[in-house]
Amino acid sequence: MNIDTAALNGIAGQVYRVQLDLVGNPVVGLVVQTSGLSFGPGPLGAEVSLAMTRYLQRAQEATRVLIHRGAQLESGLVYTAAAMDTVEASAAGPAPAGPAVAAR
Amino acid sequence: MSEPPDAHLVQVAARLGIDLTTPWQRLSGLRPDEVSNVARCLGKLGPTLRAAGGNLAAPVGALRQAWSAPEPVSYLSALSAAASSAGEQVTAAAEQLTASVATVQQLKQSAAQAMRSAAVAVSSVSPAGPSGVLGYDQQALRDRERLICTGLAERLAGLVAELDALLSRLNTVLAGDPGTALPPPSAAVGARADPVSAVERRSAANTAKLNADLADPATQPFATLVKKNLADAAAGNTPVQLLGYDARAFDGQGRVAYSVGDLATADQVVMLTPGVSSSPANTAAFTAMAKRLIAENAVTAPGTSTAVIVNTGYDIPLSGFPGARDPGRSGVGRLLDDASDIAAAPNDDIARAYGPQAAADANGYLMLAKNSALTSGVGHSYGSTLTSQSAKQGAKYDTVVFLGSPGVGRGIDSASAYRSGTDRTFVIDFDGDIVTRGVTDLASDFWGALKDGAKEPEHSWGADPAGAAFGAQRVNTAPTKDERGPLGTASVKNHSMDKYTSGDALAQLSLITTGRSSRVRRRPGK
Repeated sequence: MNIDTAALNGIAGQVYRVQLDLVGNPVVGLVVQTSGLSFGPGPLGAEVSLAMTRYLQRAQEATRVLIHRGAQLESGLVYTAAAMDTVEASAAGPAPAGPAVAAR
Repeated sequence: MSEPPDAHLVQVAARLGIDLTTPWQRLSGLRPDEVSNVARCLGKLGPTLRAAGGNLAAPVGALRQAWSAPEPVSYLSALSAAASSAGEQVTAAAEQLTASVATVQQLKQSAAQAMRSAAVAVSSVSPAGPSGVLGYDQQALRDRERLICTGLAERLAGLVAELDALLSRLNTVLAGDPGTALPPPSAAVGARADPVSAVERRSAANTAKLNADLADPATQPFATLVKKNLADAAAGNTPVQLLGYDARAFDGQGRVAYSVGDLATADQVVMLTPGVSSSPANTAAFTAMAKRLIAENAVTAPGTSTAVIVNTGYDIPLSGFPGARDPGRSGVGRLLDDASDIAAAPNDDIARAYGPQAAADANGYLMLAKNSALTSGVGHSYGSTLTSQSAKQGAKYDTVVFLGSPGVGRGIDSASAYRSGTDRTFVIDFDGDIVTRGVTDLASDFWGALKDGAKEPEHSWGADPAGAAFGAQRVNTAPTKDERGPLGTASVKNHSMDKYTSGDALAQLSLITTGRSSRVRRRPGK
């Protein structure tokens, strides 16, 4: 397998910046009170009020899952890069001292 | 909040048998500002997600060069595509809502304009004040009034039809889930699978308690039965999670709450609370009801999932089972226990006392669900009294449903006491149910008079939620098999929880618990 550890760390950094952008969006942390939103009176109004609230919550949840998946991918890339560093270092000589994981 | 309509105009219309108030309330009560706020939020989130998709796509080429395995590139590409797709969906929803704001404002203004014009026209024909003005042709005057009011009613009906069409379109847009395309975590890129959910951890802890109780002679009978119930519920690979368990609660009556369906991932969560004589050690019937509702919801709302929490976690009157309640006691001591249990049934004392704890229980379970899950508190018979008290004490139910309710507990006289409010609180009461027809109130009042004298003049179970004054949405349905008593009188057979969760009543319950409540058939309150 061909792995360029420096490039992987660079890509992990890019994924990390995407997460930061998402976390920084104020809507992601918004707490929605389901009883607080109201489209208007009547059965259909009540239903759409609830649907509107739930859609906003689902959009927030999708963003949180994306942040989580991004974090998993980022750690996977960093871990793989570090592991390859260790393998290469072992092949070259004694194991290096200190943490193997590249600093962000 | 809707504006009051012109009083004189409404009075004239009412005299002619024309209802202006209902359409006027719907139109004047519209909240374009609320829609605008949601649209603004989504309008900010959509581009952020789209940008994330683009930024994730940027290093795909570099990753292909840096790591020869195909999975990492596929995963990054899928993540990027899902982010872009989510962003597009959210942006589209924001645009639809933004466009609807203008329409909603227009509908509201048109209604107000039509109402003002008609009010002016009517007051010029028949000014407010004493009627029967000399010199007027009364018939011609009535004809003019009718013409104005009919014209206005038709105009308002047309606007309401436009509103309904708009709401239906929005409902379709808002049914989408922007997160659908997001890929699961991939071990191929070194990521671990999602950690065990908080629900699973809680369930594992309770199961460990249950297993420990199997070795203790004092709790072994209860634990054995509960274990069998859970195993039966899990048949057919159904996820079952033990959310609450205590064999020693309530003098050995025990308490159990478990989810049928995965609470962590469900789109709809229903807390189902049965009533008097339901035993935490014998819940097979409730599991069957839960499974029926889950299956019905899958048809009503395709592509969504439901978890039903079977809640036998309160001090249910008359719920002891042989050998469970104070198993060491017998004779007079046992009889006294039973008498105290019987005394608890014909009033709301337990429900009122346990309300705060019931709310805490409910919120403890619901916080394990997805943030976007639609939550419903559904109680049958005495379970509805408890559900009412817990809802009043802050249980986070989006909707509340009372099935065959004897009353909502003293101290609550309106559905506005709950977070679900009058619009999302529903009552299903069969006409042939002895409990909802007030027959049991007489027995309860008699018992209350014996116990408390005339101290508490209200019904001992509190207000009837099917009453018009309570303000809840009363569902129009009937049991599949209506089993009346002699001469067609109300019967206890029509009170069964099984009937309330079968046939058309189940279909109505499904519409409510999946957020499709506008399709629920309604009837006026008593």
